[in-house]
Amino acid sequence: MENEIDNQWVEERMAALEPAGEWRPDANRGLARLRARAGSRFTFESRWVWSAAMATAGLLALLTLSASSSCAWGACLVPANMRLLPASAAPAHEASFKISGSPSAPITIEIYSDYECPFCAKYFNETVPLLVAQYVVTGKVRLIHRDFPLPQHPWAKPAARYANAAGELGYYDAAVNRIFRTQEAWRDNGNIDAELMRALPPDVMRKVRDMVQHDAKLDDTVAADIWMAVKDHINQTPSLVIDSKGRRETLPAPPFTVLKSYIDQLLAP
Amino acid sequence: MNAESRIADEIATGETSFDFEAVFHVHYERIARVIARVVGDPARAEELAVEIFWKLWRNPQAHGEKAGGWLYRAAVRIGLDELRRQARRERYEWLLGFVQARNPEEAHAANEEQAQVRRVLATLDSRQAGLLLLRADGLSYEDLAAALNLNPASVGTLISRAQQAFRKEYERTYGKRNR
Repeated sequence: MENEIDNQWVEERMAALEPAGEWRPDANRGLARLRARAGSRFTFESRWVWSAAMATAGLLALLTLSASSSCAWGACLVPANMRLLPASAAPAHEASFKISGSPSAPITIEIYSDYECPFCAKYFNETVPLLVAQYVVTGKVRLIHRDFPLPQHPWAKPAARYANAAGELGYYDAAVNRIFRTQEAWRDNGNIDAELMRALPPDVMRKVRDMVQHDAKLDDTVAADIWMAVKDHINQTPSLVIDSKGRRETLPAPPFTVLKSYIDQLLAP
Repeated sequence: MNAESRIADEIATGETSFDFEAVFHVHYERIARVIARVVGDPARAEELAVEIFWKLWRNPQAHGEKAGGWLYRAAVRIGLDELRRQARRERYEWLLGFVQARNPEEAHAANEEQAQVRRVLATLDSRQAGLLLLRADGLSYEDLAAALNLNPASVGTLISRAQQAFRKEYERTYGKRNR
């Protein structure tokens, strides 16, 4: 009895250390700090190495580093100059082919991706099919795919034009799946056409090519998505915006187990 | 290629077999809260939590399914190290400002109690302090055993001893407690 009272007393003292209720650690900010930390460390170490090398080789290596370090740890970062809203009003174009699922679903999830981002490809190949099978098909989630081609990826925007052209013709999902699944094949040479022609009927492919070359409206679709991305403070791809119960929340695309847990929590009465 | 170069290369290319980001999202919030219990300053706790994840990233031996336990051990260690530094500098008053109380008297009382608990924790050995902190954060005996590399069968006994050590040190420093 004496021991139980003593133990309870200690537990009460320990409970006094509970952080204030309103404070919640911010994982997104933590991850951003971690990336900044990694970046500065890498730069420091690189400088140490390069100082012993020839100046031209060092310059070349730093340029390479600058280009490649934009993608790491499961995400491609959005450059700072893409995070400001353009002065113009929001483009009105909303492509219906990018939306799937029931209009009355209680949760809407918008996925921002860049076709050349390797982590987006992984997400679309592994996580999105699970999300669709368990929540979109069952009417619990409405899914919207939004394009966010990053400037460090020269083929991301052409890929978006191909996908959106196919979408206008009713082949959006087939095109998106093919583009992401074959990303490694076209990422170096930009030959998206060669991969897509294996997934679409020849007559559709001919129309897609024609639209990609001549249809300016395809850029409007992408511009509308980018405008939304900036408005939603998207700072990396892949990212999600989850809209539920009047609340709109932006977060880096989580693994399916975490996403599932979060969706289930939102769906709970 | 040495370990540092390999890690730098992985960071640059994003190619790694360890799903670091998933581990980060699963554990970050709880790790930051454990540290906040120890150091009393949420902003500092988040800085230290980031430091721990940075160390995890650089330590391939800690990757894999034991990453969670490694993180908790590191959180307790880094929190206690920080606390001991704080104790040496006698800066508790500065670091307890985040607790909100209804009036200045209550704020003072709450802060003083926290400061006393932290001072006592800083004097305990790290394993005993870790047991008390992680138990207070709601970890089960099984999770405590995994986090602190303990035999699950002995966790209850070790917690009891840690509580006795805490009580003894508290009474030695602040006199007989009220029950």
